[in-house]
Amino acid sequence: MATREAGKKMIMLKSPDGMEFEVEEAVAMESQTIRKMIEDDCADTAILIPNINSKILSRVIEYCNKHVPTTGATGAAASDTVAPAALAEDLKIWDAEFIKVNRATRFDLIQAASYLNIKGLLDLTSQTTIDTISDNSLEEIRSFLSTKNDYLPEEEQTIRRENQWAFQ
Amino acid sequence: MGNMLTVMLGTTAVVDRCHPRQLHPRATSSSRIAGHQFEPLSILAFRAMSEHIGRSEAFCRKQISNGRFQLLTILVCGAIRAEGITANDPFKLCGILICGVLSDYIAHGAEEPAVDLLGDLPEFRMGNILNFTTTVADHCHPRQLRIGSGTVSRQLEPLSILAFRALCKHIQRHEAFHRKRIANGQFQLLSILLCGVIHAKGIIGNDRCKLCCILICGVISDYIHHGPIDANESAIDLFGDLPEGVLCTIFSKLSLKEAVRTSAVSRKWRYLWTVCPKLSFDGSTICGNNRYGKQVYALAFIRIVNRVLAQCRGKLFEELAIKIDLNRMFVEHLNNWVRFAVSSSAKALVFDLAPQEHQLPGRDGQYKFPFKLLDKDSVHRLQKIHLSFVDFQPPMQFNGFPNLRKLDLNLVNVNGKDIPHMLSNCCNLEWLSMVRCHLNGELKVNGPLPHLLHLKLVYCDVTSIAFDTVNLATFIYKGRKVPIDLNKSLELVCADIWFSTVTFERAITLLGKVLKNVQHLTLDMDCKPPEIPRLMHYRCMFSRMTYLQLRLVYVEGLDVLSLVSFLRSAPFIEKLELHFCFPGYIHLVQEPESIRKLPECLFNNLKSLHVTGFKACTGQVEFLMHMVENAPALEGLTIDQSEKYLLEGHKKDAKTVIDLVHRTAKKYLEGKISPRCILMLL
Repeated sequence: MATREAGKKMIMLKSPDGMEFEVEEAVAMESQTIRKMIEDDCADTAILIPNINSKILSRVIEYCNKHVPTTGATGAAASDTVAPAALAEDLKIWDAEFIKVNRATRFDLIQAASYLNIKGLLDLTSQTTIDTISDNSLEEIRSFLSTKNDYLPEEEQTIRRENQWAFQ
Repeated sequence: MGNMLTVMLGTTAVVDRCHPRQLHPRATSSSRIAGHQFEPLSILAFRAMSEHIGRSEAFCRKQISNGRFQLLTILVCGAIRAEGITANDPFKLCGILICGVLSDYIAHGAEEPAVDLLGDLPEFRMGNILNFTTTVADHCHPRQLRIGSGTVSRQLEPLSILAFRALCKHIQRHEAFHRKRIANGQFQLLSILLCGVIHAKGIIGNDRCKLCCILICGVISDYIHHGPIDANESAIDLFGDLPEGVLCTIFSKLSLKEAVRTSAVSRKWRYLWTVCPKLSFDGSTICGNNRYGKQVYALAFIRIVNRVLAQCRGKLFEELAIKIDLNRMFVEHLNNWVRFAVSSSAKALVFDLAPQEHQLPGRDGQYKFPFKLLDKDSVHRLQKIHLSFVDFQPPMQFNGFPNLRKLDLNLVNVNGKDIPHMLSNCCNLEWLSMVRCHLNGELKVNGPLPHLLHLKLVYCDVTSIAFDTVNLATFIYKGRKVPIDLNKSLELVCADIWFSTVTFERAITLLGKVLKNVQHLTLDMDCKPPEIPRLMHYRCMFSRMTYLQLRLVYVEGLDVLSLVSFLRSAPFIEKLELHFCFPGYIHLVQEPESIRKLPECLFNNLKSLHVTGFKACTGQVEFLMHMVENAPALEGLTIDQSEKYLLEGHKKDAKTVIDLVHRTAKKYLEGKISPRCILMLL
């Protein structure tokens, strides 16, 4: 076990507010952006992640930590003991719990996932928005997005007429 | 205590006057004294501030202290950042700005307060407020405050500490404050805090900056603590501020209808949906039911597509998909839409024009794919082409789509000579499917397709198939029994084959070479009995096959020998599924009939055997006995008398007496089946 620990390459991630996070290379590589940096040998010292504060970054790392065994090379070891289906189910529950954050945090997570290019996290964080937009009335969408309807009634009528088919 | 009451009264007064709705431009007319004084100021200030921040991110890094914007700004900035609000959040800017103005004002206008700097902060439990205060306190450590400009910081520092102390005292004395959820949930304790401080410092009540700051701090605290709950009240639109890439991801997962609908959300959302990378028009969803006859339906569809495309003019998108029953009047419009896709740098074209009716009309009226409208760039750009009910005739010397990844042709009129040539030049092809595209000749693709993973050829009337694909993983073929040459595809893992009437002997000679590495095989065939039934001894043909599914239609009698011979060519199978289908009447095995015992041939790895359409006829019983005796590792045996895969037009045989079949199966298996094996009779 000790040798395995020693064999793992660690990467230092730095948030702009000065916090440092040491993570396994495989975990960091969940992010395609960081993967690229590592592959281009730009990751000798710490990698500064601009625009993502330590609070959000720590959440992102938490996500990557949880998700690395199922996609990474270490997956074989994990799935030998637990059935893959059960593992996926477990991960789903974990994801659902993970995404129970306030809107502002979710919004930051979306941006972080987008910048770091972590597809799974981006899908997870944007899913709520997608579901809301596809299933709800305009009024509910506005309330979810906390956007006020700033159209004049006549303007809204025009827009609805222009794409009438979409409002039927 | 009397002093405190005055503070409270003052606060309430301010609170009443500074409802955030007054911030809204349209509220001007209704705003009261305080309202119209600070409103323009704050709006102006936001603008200046957001520009400022936009230009230099240094703000977030606490490096600005040029005299105008002061440390309280930094304080709020830090607190907000800790709460995870992003830089382009209008509330953050608002707070930062106003606090800056306030601190500026206080720093220059008020005298230095004589307070004990590090007064003890009593412990209190106030949920969010506690968190917030702590965060603020973290960010406002006196040491940090001193980093900034000298004199000013010394003045400000005590002020904020004073404020916290005032708050704490206040809360201790009036715990009811929190419980009451004061001031219609809009203004929170931070307002009161500042109010109290300012009051204590004797700043006059009608001061602009004071009101402004109280208001804004209230809004901020409100947002921070109640924002996610009071979504309607704090008018900020987080998702509209997302980078375009993320919006693209979100919109690409919505249907076009849902995306277009968002245009009515607000002005900001008016054209946001046009970043949608996939414009997918499906007649049945965008025109609803066809109530007014074909012509009206077609016209409505054309109008909608043209309107949407007009709104997307000038935008780039990735995919244009049209799904509608072809109508003659479409032709010119379809051409226009192709032009539009070309001009918008689309990478994918999907034209599904097949009529929905069950009976397909002749292919004469098909839409001719407009090769002439594709320029050189678009030929290079296209990555996915999906055509259904289209006439696809590449012009002479057409050199293929060099970047095409996926080609899906269904009911497409093709020329047997041009297609192989075109495919030879689509060297990036990963996915190729051709269904009912009558080639009427051989499909010999000479050019290497090293990326091709998936190949599907269904009812294409080919006379032979030859591909040079080293990485092919899946192969699906339905049609006549023709020679197949996939000799270079050593990675082929899954195969699904359907042959019309064929003997096992012929099937094995056709497939033996092609599928030698295949691991999963589904073979669907109408079994023709061999001329001379005999047990063949093929050498191991499918050495890597672990899963075999056979769907066998027996019009004439079942020949066990050829079936068993076939299985012997795949000795390492682990899972075997056999689906029998007998269109004719089948006799149950009769008592005096002898069940032949076939020569031993072990399937040591076979763990699961699933048989459907089991009618307990002589051949099936012989086969079953043989398999049970030759599969020592068998763990599960399922025998289902119902037919899972039926021949088209063939009705389920209702006459089968389930009970009798089960009894017969049990009788023969008794004693033969290992106790470790679980038997299921359905």
